[in-house]
Amino acid sequence: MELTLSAKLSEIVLPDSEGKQVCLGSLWASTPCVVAFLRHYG
Amino acid sequence: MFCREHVAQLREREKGFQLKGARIAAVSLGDTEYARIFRADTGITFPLLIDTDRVAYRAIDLGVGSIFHLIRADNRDARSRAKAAGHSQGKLGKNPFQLGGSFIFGPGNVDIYTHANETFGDNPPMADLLAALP
Repeated sequence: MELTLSAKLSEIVLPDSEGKQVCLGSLWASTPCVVAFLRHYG
Repeated sequence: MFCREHVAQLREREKGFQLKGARIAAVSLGDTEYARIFRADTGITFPLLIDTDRVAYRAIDLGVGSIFHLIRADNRDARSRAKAAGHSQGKLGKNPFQLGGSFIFGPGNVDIYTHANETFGDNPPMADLLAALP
């Protein structure tokens, strides 16, 4: 069975703008999360 | 300018998403310093994550545009719309052709809504995102 997009992302850890490491899956672990992938800051 | 327009729309509708039990986060390609400036400029308070190596973008196969996308009619229309709304082009990153997308993910790794952008200005209407939430 193919993984969902959220499953493919869930283990990835990225820093936020303050340098805190955030596991993407934690964003939607308990509630839905709108995730916007921006191209850049333009 | 499309990113600023999209982020501004998310910020304006943040309360609406919260009323439906959802939160907002954004992922971008820039560096930490510019992320702080972008947050201050746009007034967003939701998390802005930094993915300079495009790890997350590649994990879900978000597309990559080309210089030819700049002359697409839909892109021109989107640029006009964003300009009319007062948004201007900001700093371009090292991967200016990377395309974005908007998603709603839920507990249990459920994909509630998916929209992978087909060109630079192809961001979904906020109404579509809100309607995807029960």
